Amino acid sequence: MLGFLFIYLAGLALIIWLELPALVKQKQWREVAAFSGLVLIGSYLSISMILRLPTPNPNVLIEAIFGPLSKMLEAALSGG
Amino acid sequence: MAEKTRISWVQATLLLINMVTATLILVVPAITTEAARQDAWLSALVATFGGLLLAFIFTKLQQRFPRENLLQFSITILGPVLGKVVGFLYLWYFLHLAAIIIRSFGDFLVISFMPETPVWVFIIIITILAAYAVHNGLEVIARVNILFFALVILSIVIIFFLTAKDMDFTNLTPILAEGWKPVVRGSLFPLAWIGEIVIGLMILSHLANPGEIKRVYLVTTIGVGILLLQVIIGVVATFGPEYTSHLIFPGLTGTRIISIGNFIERLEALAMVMWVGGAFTKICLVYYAGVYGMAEWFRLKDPRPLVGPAGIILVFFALIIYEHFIDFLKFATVPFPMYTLTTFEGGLPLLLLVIAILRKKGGAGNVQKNPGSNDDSSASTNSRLLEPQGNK
Repeated sequence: MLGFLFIYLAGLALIIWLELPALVKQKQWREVAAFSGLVLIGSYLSISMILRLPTPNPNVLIEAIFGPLSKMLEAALSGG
Repeated sequence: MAEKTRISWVQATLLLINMVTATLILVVPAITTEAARQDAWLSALVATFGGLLLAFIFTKLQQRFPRENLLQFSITILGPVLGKVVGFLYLWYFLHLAAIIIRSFGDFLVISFMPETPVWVFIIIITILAAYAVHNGLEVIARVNILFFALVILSIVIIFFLTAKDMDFTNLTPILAEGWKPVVRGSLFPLAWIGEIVIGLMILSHLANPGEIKRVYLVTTIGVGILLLQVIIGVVATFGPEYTSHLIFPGLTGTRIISIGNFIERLEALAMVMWVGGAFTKICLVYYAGVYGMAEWFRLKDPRPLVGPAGIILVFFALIIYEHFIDFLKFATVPFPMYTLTTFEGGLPLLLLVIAILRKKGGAGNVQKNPGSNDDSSASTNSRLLEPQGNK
């Protein structure tokens, strides 16, 4: 678990080191804000995954919405 | 965005064909055969026909806005608020699709070739590689794709001819024993994958000559249809419908049985080439669409800073989205075609097109008249002139 955390933090540090200084130097604040927002979302999701906390899985939602619909279609088409 | 990327129609077509085909032919034959049995090849034809309808919608939409991508013209058509909502949904679709395909890439390699390597190794490596490609832009992806496309096509053709002696075409009969219903059901899944050419709406605004939009979509859909038909016929004729429907990767198993004179054997490497080349193109393209779409959504000048953070999110989703590849097959068989076809591949583009026609947004006829010559300025000013100032 600690190993994964270390890999993640190293990767994150690399991305920030590669991208952020140039953006700040050129005063592209919109880019800085979008970049930081995505990094925060990504960090929240990744760290909670690494620490085995509950994380959202979009497929569950999609299956809940579209599963019954597809089953109806399947039933309509499998009659023969 | 002040990006001056230009790609030719051949590059765009090969990108789209490679994106759909390479991943389609490995898993689709099994799922389609399970529904349609020996008529799976008819399902491929039905899916291609449905794909042509989708391609028609995308073509009409792109022709109205030849120099705008999906996120830009949804704002032009629907106004700033609803347009952003549609744009957000598409960003979700791109990221979700990219995560699915990254995970499948890892799962295929783990299941078939390297069962003792954890899947996150492949996921992280391919994401870093794709991030590098996306960072370099569409032209780079389009050029490297030509190499991959050649490898993929070569593999498909070689595999088909080497398995030809094991094929028994009586496996394809009786035709339509149970009517059209199973055929239509079996065509939904390949259709959902052909419908992924909706990604074209994110890259065709970079076409050097906007008059060739129609040609790109037409050649793509028919090319994918032919390759799909050939692979399904090959697999079903070789294994028979019963056995094919129980395989996880029929395309791979097809290469495993190749044995000619006890000499040419064990050609799985060809299937691996096909998968790695195709999946890489697909990951790059969907990742590209996601990142550039996000930059458009946030109205950034330079999308490249978002590549890294988006990669983190992709790795996360790729890791949690399934427990096992079997879960993916279940998801891909039941809700996935319904989910993509009713919303992102069919419903929303159709809605956008109808509203664009009703509100008379974008120019339909002024594209073909002046192809080539300073197309960039004329086409974009045309669509800008036609856009009323105070639209809501």
